[in-house]
Amino acid sequence: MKTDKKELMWHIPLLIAVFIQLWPIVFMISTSLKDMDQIFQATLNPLPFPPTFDNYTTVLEDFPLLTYIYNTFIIAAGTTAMKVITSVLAAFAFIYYDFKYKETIFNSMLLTFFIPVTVLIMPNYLLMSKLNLLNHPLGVMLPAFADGMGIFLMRQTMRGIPKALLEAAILDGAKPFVILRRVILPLIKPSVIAVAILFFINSWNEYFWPLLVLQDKDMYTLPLALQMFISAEGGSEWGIAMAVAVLTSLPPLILYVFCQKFILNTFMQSGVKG
Amino acid sequence: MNSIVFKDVCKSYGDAKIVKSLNLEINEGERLILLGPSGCGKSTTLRMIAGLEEITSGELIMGGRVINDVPPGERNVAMVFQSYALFPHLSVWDNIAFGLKIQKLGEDEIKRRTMEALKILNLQGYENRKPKDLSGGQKQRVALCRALVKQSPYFLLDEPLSNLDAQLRQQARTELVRIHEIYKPTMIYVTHDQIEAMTVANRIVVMRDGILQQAATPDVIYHHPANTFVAGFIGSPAMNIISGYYSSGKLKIGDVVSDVPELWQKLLEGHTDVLIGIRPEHLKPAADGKIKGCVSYQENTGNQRTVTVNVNGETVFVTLPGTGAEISGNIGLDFNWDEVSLFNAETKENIGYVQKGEIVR
Amino acid sequence: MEKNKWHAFLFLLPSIFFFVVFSYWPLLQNLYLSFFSWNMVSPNMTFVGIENYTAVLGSEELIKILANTVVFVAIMLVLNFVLPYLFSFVLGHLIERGKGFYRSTLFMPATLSLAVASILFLWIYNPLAGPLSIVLSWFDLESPRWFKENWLVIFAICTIIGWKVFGYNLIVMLAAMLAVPKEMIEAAKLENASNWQIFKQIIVPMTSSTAIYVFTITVVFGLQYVLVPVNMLTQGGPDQGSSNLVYIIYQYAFVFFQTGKSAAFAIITMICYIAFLLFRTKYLEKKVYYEN
Repeated sequence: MKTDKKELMWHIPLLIAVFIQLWPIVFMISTSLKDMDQIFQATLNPLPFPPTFDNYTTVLEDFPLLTYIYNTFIIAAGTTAMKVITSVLAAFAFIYYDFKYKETIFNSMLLTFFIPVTVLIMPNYLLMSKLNLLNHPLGVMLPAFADGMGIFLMRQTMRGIPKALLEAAILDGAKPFVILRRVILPLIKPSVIAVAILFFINSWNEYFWPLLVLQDKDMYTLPLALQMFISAEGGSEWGIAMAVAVLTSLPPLILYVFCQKFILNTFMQSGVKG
Repeated sequence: MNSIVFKDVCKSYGDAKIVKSLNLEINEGERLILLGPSGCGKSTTLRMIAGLEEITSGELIMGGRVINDVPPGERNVAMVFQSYALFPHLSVWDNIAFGLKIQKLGEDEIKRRTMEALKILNLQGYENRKPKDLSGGQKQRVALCRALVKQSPYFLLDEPLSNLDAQLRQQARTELVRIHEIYKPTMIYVTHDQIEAMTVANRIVVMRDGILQQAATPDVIYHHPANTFVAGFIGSPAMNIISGYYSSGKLKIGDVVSDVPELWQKLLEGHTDVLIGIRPEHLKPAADGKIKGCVSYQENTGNQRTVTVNVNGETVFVTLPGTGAEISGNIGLDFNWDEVSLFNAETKENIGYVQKGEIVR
Repeated sequence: MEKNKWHAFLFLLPSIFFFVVFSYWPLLQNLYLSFFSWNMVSPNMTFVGIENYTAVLGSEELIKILANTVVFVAIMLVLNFVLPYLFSFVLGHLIERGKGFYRSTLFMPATLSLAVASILFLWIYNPLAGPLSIVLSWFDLESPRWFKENWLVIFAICTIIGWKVFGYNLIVMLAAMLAVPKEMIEAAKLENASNWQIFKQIIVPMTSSTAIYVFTITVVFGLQYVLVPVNMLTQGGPDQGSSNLVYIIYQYAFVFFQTGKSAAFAIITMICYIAFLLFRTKYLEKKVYYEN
């Protein structure tokens, strides 16, 4: 059992890493369940006793939190739906058709993924203000309706479908859109769902661009709302801030816990070169 | 009516010429086999008929109509893919009915045809299974069903049996011929397996490097191959090709000189260096044979012995019945002039043969 | 495989539309704006030629910004490239038990918003009562003011990014690690190769293309991720101590209202990014043994 001992040694750094990764999340949740005294006197105690939901009732009563949740959801769901559609359509074009400059077009789409967001925000801000979409959810969503990474991932999955399947459908006289809907989509459904989850989480978590577009507090998304709870250093509203942080994190965490396999597999694919 | 004609058809990808100036007529209702080693252009030829590959130049005529630019879905062809290409998300029934639904046939018609196809291929009871729950042989039959149900005048098969084990393959061959006999569609079948070709085909087309080598009945292909390539590709072990020298009525193989019968003298007139093609089963040990060689190895598979003989540095195979006298050491081999093929040593083309006292070139 | 190229365009159209309008057109607009002096609201735009560029390139601020950027990148490369690389090797090839547990727990922070991470670490790093200050006090150490001190602020912000991104990069690297055939490692073990030798001579060459991808996203996205904590916690401070090439574009546009300089910085940053991406394809990818 020599190998067992050796293996044990490698668990030490891994467990330290797990502690570093998990402790802040546990800490965030436990702080949100403490009252003011517990926060400052039992700061490190991960088990608040007795746990209190006061922080949650406070944020729900004093702040339009449900509005924020609604706003965030609408933006995340809308963005996700559009992104999935545009990505699937574009990826289909790349695997089904042969055309000139195919690789160039694909690369220029993928490249958009790497453009730093601040490079685009000022021109896009000016555009949104011209379109009167500042302070409107659509203003947040529009620039995110196409996604280079989404196209890449969808193309990657579609490439895994044997060509003969498509050819069989072609010989049966199926038109491209029918092939996409009746042959390709049913086959890649798990990947589409995974990519959708990924898009949803990313959009839910988005901070920077919504910050510029949504100026009215009523239009805020959850990540933006968090900003309001950052008071000057030494501020004492940590319990409330953590409660909002927990509420913001809950949907992604729940999605993650239940769709772990999906999510990890998609993320694992994203690095594999095509 | 449902014939297929290739007129000077070429196919190239960039500089690579896959099919070179193919001229071929495929008759209605025949079972034509495209045979050749991988990369010879046989699959490309089939896919051009299906419309899955564009034709670079030349004309492809199906049913009297030039169909170069007709999209695959409108050519009314049914195809069985090497991988079967069954839709994994659909049941056997839905797989078979897929094409009919796309064509928007009536529900009753779809049901009738699907049931009929299932019955012909003995797949009743499997309608609701998914492809992953089927054995290899069953998948192959579903793929056949899917092609069959379309009742297309053209039936294309791309190495349909290559994923089956030897035993199933034999059954499937018989089944294929049986199914063809039911509807008599024009059937084009691609394979690299010569046994499949010999057993299934009405006519075999042998291809190599994109060039048609010979198109003839299995019998002619076997007994009178058009060139040494065809000779070597068909038969197992392959036809022996032995160098000889012909001069004024005498044939010299190694050190042995023998007389050539009169008719063959006429045939060989003007030739000196020739290649003599003899099937292993047509060589008989004989002390005074026209060929002398030395036995180097023997294999006995029970019903048949394959003797490897070294003849002037060339390897020659002889097949003999499984039982019989042992042979070894230096031996003589004899052949019957009726059973040999003669090739020009330079061009490797068949010189001709004698049939019923007539010379056929 | 299909002839009808026009149809392909129809399928691409939605994506092309959004990319052109919201990604490529803005790049051009930046170029245009960089030659003007404007404050985003006034009706008057003055053409100033390359003045914005000379002002930006000649400023001392630029040196500070570049230095900050380099430090940001260096720390993030350690936290989000080197560490995930090593950990993915341990996770993929050195342990047998608990793989699934490690994978799912280590990844968890990657699902959270950077805004959440920022506010969480603001509390953790709180110098007066935050948990880290309590731990430090056990050792009689006084907590520094993490977000108020030059350089320290960059480190503190990088740890936030590190915490959030580590798991993602780990998973991507792990995929590459698992693609290395186990037989290869076992063969090396039969030759009595040490883990380090295996890592150096088998793992590194066989995972290099993914490693380069992770390296790239660490640099390219790292600087963007930084925006969130910087904007929430320091606004570039103290004294531009946590600003960088990517944040400064935002600052000039939406804090100082100097669109010309913002656009000039955007163009410069874009050039740096393109240079980096070209460097990657030209020099790094050549050395790559491709897995597939």
